[in-house]
Amino acid sequence: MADEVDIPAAADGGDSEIRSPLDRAVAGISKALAWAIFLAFGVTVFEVISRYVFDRPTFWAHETTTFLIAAIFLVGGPIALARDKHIRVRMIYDAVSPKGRRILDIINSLIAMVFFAGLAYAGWIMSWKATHTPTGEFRLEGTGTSWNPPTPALLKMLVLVCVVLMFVQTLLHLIEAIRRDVSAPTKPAGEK
Amino acid sequence: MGLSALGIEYGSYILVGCIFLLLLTGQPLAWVTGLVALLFTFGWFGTNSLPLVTSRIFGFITEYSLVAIPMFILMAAILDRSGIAKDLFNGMRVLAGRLPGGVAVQTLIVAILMAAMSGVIGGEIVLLGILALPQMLRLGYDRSLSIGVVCAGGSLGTMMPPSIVLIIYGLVASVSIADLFVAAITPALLLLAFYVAYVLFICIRNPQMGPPMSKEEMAQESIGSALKSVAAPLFIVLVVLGSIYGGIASITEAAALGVSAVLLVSLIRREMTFKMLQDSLVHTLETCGMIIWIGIAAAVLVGVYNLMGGNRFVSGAILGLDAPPVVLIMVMMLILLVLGMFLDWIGIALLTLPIFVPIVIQLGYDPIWFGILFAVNMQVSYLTPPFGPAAFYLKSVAPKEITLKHIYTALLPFIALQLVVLGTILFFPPIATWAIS
Repeated sequence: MADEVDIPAAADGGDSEIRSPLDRAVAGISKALAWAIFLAFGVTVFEVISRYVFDRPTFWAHETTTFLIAAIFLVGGPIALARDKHIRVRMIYDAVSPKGRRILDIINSLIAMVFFAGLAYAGWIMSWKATHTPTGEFRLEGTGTSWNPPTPALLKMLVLVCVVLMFVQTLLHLIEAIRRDVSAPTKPAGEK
Repeated sequence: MGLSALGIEYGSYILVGCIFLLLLTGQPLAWVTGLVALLFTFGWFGTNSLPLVTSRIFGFITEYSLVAIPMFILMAAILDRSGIAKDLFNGMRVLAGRLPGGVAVQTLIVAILMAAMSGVIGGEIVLLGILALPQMLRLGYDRSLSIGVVCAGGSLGTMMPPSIVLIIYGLVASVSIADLFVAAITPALLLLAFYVAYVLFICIRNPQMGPPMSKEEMAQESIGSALKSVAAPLFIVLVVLGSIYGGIASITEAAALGVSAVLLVSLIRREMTFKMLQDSLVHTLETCGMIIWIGIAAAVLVGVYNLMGGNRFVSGAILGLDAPPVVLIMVMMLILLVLGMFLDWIGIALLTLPIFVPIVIQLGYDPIWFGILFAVNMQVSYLTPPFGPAAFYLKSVAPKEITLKHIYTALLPFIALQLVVLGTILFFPPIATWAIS
């Protein structure tokens, strides 16, 4: 059988359209950030080897991998948003006309922006508390272990950065949807 | 604002209503759940409580057992991009020649072997859709049977250990993930046996449903090439499951060891390139973002809902049915099945399990057993319309003339088989629990 189908591309659901320059930038940065997963993998394997082969468990592997992966989880939000990979129920969305879809896009962007704005407010308070003492001095919150890396403070700030980023991404999607011209005959919907 | 004036009963109805209404607009599940959580936090408890939402986000993402999830996704991503599955499928041809419906049986065997290597679905269905579906259609297999085998078999990845569904269950229910992995094997094999029996039954009764291969094709098969093709998969399975069952490594560490096994195999096969690794890592990052943000939002929502008194309300409503315990379990299964038609598994897990698992324990049942029921239930959710992920994955690689409607219709008998297995485990718990007691 000589049918060489591009499996990876198919597994990723093909190339989804990128909707704004910001999305393109986010998708571009994801190539570099993704290596944090490889680093976390390397650290975990190193820990297993040093425990069994050298009988010297590390004190830093556990907290390092948890931090790296938590950061990956957070930035995964904007990155999946940039490529429109977030799971949604497309039953009605796919059935309506381009005009209806534009209206749904506008409504959805507005709703999502309310969500991100609320999270940003909460994230701001959390970040402030994680970087300041109750008396207002600058201090990064640590994990509280003997090593005590300031990773909780960094992650809490990253929550804020990610939701603000998603707010701006969605704002650009909103502007695109408002400006979109749906009067011209467009290509038929993919499904059905 | 005083949403709390509504009382928990009406509050619950409005909350569920909001979620379904917003979902229909095509809004991503993660934002829908998160927004409803945020609105109820704000409306029920006031502005000062909003930071509760973000501290729950922080608590969720820093769970150590979640580190296993990107590792298993990365493992599957590299596997999908290597030729291991293709070789395995071709090598397993030896199973196909003589049996009626042989290629369908071959597909199912390949599916369970791949399932034992990977804890996610998606890539597996896509691979089988590319490898097995054209082969069956070319030989004149019944289209529905072929589609059903690919989707049902390809979904076994999250039933057979290692499975990220069981990892999340273990995390939420606070039970041992290793125990869940042991308990899940028999039910996973039972599902497989039901699928195989169904294929054989259909094809023996009507050989037109699964005609045999041509003589030349049968001549290509050999025991030697079959054994060679299973060597790499068995090595990978041994590394992951061996280190978990052997108690050598935690689930997370076993997942990382699995990644090194897959890397090693693809290096030996000379398939590992920088681009392949880069693509696999980006795919992992995106998939994590998609799964985890649904999880984050669901974790926040259930946190808020429980603060509102929702867990007491739901458990009061379920326990107040005044029915035998087994009926209450069936009610919970029914709720999960309905939710499975609309929501993603991780959303369902994080929304319902914090409420259901305490009820199960209170009724005197084993939470491990309930975890297996949950996993089988999620198998059903992959196939049920309107939101059946397995159907979408297959649609992305199936021939153009196969529509989503064809796929969903083809899946009905397999859904029925899954429900039979679900019922069997429900009434005969030892199927799941014998291995851990």
